[in-house]
Amino acid sequence: MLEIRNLSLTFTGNRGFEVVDDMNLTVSPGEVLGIVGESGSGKTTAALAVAGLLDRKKVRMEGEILLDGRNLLTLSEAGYREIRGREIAMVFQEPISSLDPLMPIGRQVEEALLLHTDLSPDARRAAALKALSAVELDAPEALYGKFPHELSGGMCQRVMLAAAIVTHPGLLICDEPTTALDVSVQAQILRLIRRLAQENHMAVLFISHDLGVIRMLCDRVAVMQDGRIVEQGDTEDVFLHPQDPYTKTLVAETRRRADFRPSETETVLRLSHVHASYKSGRNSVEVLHDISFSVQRGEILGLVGESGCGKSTTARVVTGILRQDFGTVERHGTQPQMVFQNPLSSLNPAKTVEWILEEPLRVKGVPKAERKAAVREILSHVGLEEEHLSRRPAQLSGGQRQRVAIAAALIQKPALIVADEPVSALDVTTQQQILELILSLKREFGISYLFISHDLGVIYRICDRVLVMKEGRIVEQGPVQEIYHNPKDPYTKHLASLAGEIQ
Amino acid sequence: MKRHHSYTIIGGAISALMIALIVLAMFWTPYDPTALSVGPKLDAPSLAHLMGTDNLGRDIFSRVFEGAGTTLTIAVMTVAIGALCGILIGSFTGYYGGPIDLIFMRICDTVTAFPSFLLALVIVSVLGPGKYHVVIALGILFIPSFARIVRGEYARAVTQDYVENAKLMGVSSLRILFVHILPNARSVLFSALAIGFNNAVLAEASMSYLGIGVQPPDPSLGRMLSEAQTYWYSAPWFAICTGLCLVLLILGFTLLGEGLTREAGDHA
Repeated sequence: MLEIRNLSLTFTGNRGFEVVDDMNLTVSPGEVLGIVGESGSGKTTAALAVAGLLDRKKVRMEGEILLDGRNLLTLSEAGYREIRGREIAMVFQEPISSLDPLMPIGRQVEEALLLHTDLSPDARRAAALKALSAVELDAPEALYGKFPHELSGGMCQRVMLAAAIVTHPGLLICDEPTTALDVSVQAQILRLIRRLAQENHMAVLFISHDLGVIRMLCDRVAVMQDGRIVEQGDTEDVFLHPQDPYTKTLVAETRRRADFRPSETETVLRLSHVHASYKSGRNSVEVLHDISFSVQRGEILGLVGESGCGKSTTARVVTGILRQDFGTVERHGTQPQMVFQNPLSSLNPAKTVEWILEEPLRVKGVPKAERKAAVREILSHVGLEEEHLSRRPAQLSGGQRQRVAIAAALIQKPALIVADEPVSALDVTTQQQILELILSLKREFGISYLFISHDLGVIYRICDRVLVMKEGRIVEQGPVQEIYHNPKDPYTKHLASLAGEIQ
Repeated sequence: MKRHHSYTIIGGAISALMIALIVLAMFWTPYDPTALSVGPKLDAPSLAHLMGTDNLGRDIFSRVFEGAGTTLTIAVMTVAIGALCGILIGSFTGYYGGPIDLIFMRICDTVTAFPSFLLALVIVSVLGPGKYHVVIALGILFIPSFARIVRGEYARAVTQDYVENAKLMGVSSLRILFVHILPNARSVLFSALAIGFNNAVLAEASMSYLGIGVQPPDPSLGRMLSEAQTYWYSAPWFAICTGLCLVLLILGFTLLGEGLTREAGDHA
């Protein structure tokens, strides 16, 4: 078990300052202890100290870190190397950057065994395969020779966990291991960590900025602020009866987010029996046949189907660019905005980011000072920096461009954003980040989305409900879990099997 | 920060020098360009007369830059008429398409079908010779080429999502046309302006050469070339200096236009 007594960490050097102040903690075998706090609160530095990864020349360490009774602070670097990887394992936030891109998965899982044991290659391989199946990865044999880029983010994080537990360490330190993952994968990884802790009698130190995540996983929690533990105790107790003012704000914030469910009464969009067609000359082709659906406030409605099935036409009818022939379109609130697949086409190439973001406000007659303030405000919400303002779209990365496109839609405070394949042109990591952004904006502003994709897998990751479209008709609709796991229509089954294969 | 293309630098230097001399000539010349017998007739270049004197004893240096000024003014006005009308017609037809587009483009086809110089001659013959008539004639002839280029850019832009996005923002059509799309046409506009400008300089020179452009005693590069032709053997500097001035004027703007086009292309 791990016991931290009166630990203080001070960065030396000409501007020395204390990062961790008088920290006291214990973690028993099989227990998961969460450390929650903002970035800069000292939680990661404390974890690094436990793992012996702080540079002793730069950090003065006082107090005791006891692992099974031994004070780790008295160990030499060589002594620490013995322990690290065998008795203490770590898992970090970015699985992609923690894994060696050029080394097969299996070899990376074996790495700790190679360093700390004298097992034969065959025994190492067997242990690695066992660890891979322990982290609930299917077909470990097939995975063994694969490379990290062939795996999804969630799978990579499982591989990291496998590599961590392969030596049966007594202590596992997890630093924001699920922050880069989407919500559903996050939940799976959390359950997995919990199971591993119990089955292996492993003490887990779990660091996160997200109290919601901590609550799902941890038995006890320590709340850190400015290097000090301000509150510590049973997770449910702390969550239900927070004592410290900082913990109270943290709990309130977490509740606000967790409580956010799509509104059942407030509808932002309703289409009833809509027919729409394209005319060229005297010919008219009906593309949409009898489409009816609605979007609730705070809901992400997925629209999935092959190209040419009428998805984009639906988007054009929803935004009003195309008039329907029959049926009604009711829009509540402001004009729906769009985010397109290719931001190089949807952002004016001749203008700077600042101009693009200001333009919607400019045409509404908002004064210059307010415009500038609104633009800066929106930047922080979409993860862009002020330095990006003076750039043109061509000078940004694909992910940044899509962030600008989202910001340009968002700045108009629409009730509904129609996103037409917004992540299809992006690489997997960027795709993940943009999906995260879409989700967080939904939570923060209660924005509804009509999210169009040809990929049921992507839809599954972020949507609440989903419509399946084929040849201009809706063939199936319902909650995303149900459509994905239990498709009824043959066409939906086909899409679900495609998504399964890709994942 | 921004590095300029070598064409822009060389073209800009030549153009700046020429324009500086032309502007200077508007206020001050070594001699009165129209005054007769300021020196001996057909005198070779000397310190007193940098480019020599012509058959009437006028100072060629003073006349060349005064004449280049006339040519430049006419060319600028011509291109301005052509470009403004061309942008207006091209943007509307390209953006809206449909019957208006069809009608205007057929008119442009018709105008382009005639050799432009011949048509200019006809218009000037009808209106009578004179500086402003040349401007009107050439200006009208320049409209189709601008309209066609601008129309192409707008027709392409209409299919871009940023235009649809602007509509969703509630941007007015006029603002979409001239604030959102026009800057994207600048790289083709730069080259069109440079080419148009050079064509205008040449066309004006040709018309004055034929005697239907700028009227005496105002100097004009075209008319001076025509006068110089007679004295090619006795006073070659007359034709060489006048011709060189015309060449530098065109070269400068061609390089500048080409350089700016390439720079704009890099940014798009």
